[in-house]
Amino acid sequence: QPSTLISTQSLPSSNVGISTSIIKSSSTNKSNEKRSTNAISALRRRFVGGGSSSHRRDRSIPEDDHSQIEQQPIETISADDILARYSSKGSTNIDNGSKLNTTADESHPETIPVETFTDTLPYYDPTNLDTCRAFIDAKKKLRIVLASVDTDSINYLNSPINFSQYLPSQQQQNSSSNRKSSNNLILFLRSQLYEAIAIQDRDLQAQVYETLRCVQQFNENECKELIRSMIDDYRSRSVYIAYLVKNNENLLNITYHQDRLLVRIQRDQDLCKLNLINYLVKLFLDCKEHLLQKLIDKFSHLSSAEEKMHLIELFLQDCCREITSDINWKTASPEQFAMSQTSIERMVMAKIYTAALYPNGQIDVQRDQVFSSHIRTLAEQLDPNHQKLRIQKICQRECPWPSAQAELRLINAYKTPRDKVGCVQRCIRIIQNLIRLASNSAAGADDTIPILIYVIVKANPPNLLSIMQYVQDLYSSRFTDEESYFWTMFVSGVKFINEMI
Amino acid sequence: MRRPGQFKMVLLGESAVGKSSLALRFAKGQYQEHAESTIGAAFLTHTLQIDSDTSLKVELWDTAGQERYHSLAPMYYRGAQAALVVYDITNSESLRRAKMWVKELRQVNAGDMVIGLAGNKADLATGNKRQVDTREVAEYAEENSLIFMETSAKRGDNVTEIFMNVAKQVAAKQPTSTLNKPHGAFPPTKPKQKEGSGCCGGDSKS
Repeated sequence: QPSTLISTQSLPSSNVGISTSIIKSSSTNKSNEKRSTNAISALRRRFVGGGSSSHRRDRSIPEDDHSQIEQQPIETISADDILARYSSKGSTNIDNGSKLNTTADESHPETIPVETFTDTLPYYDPTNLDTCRAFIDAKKKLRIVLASVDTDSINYLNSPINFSQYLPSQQQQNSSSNRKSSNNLILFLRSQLYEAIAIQDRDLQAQVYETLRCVQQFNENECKELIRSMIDDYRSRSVYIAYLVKNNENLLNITYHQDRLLVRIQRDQDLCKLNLINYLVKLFLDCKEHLLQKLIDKFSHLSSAEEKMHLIELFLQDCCREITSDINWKTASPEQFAMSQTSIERMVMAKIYTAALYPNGQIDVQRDQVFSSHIRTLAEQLDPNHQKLRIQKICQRECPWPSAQAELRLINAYKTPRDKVGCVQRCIRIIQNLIRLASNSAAGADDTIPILIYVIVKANPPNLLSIMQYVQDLYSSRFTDEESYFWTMFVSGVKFINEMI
Repeated sequence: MRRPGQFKMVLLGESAVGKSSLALRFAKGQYQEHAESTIGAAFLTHTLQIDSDTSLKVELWDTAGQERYHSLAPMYYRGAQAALVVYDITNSESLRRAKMWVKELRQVNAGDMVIGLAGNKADLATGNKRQVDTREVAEYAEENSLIFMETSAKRGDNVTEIFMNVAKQVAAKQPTSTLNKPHGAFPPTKPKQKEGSGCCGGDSKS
């Protein structure tokens, strides 16, 4: 839309092709005018009361110099005021005795002051061209039709190809037998008509056909006059259009802001749901305390990973089945049951966490401590150019990737194997994101692995070996494809660190 | 209509030969510099329509190509039904590495794995940048029953073709029932080895 404003300033009005394109924009704006004013008043109703944010937003946007309205704070004028202002501006044109005395009537079809006495005037009057009803009628129809045409075909009109030769002969005969010549405007409209027919757009077809019929009443000079009159209309509204463009921009800003707020609210809602589910699951599991105790006993007596996994899976399945008959869950939705499964898993795993993480008790704890202390020693001498890493120079500016380290350090806060894998996945994703930022190309394994190794060493999350064992034993059969890959990447990183020590 | 199956395909080759570029071009139709929406190209999936009633989902596992990470590769190619070994036609050293990968894969998997060999950066073939002769590699591929093509991730030449040919051979080799297994990628033998290496590393220093 701003580009159409510029084109009004430097206007070669002799060229019909270009002129029509401008009129087209004018009429597009016309329909936008209505839409935007509706939106403005709706928005004012919503925001002006307590919407201080919309107020601030309006001010923050640079004001347009040549629009007087823009200088005033937005809440002092209503859309109706603006419309009133411009309708009166239109009538001053009539008072000035200029040829544009139809403007007011044109731009506000809801007020029809001229209609009553023009009934007595002849429909088509070449001496009083721009006040006769045929003229006004044609202009109105043109504006509607030009709002939905394909501007590309204007280029064909300007090209050296004789456009009329492609038109069906019958139409040509009609137009030549007509007392008015076929000028560019008519050619243009006719091309639009054929296009509407070709794409089977029957509404457009009817409109273009009717417009064509109206315009064909005029000779070439009269057509030029018609176009000139439309350009004048357009110019007289340019300030108003600038104002609308500006407001449209504001509206887009506000809409974007609203969307962001919605996302935040959505997130709050999810958290509330989750907390409710967690609370209800806790109530449910509290009644099963004795069963849980039994599970822990059984679990610590099993030696093979497969048996352990089987035991846990059976217990979780039982819980998920029984919760459906629990009194608190009578009216729960499928979505809530799905959430309850995750919640149950988290709580059950938290109960057996120590037994599951350290199946061999103290031996495992010590093994982890030894490994961790070795990593600590390694971390002191490790830099991105270490011969085993040789991280690309271009990726080194983000060193030491603190956000990825922070994510990885959280791994012990997650109790279920699934959540631990998710944590690793997020850590790698952060690294890849930073590679993407630095090198401007999607991160492959060549770049990711060295940085991941560096991050693991520097973050040095405790119980690394036990965590790997834990996930492997209790979750590896349930990996999704992606989890499987990222977990392999993580495990291979730890394996490499193990070789470095 | 059969249910769509899937298989795992590992990408091997010297670093910077364009493994992840090939994967990105294949799975997203994008080339690195223009792939603004794609953050990671290390793991990608893409579904291929093999014929009218078979579609196969390909999981692409990228590996780090640097020589120092060679020992990690078995963790990635374990359980893979296919591999794409990539070299750079402007770098004869990368072909040497590629041949090493092929040898290793054949030793480990005894011919079960479908292996593709891609001579990437074919767009640089004009001029005197080319260091690897096409005919020579084609003969080598023939001897080792590899699916060989020269590709260009940048221009998109032969990218879908080589993946498609590999996928077709995978589909032909295995009954669809085994391809339908959703999470067959992780072998059960893994934990023992992991524990072993972990323990040794810890114990040896203690």
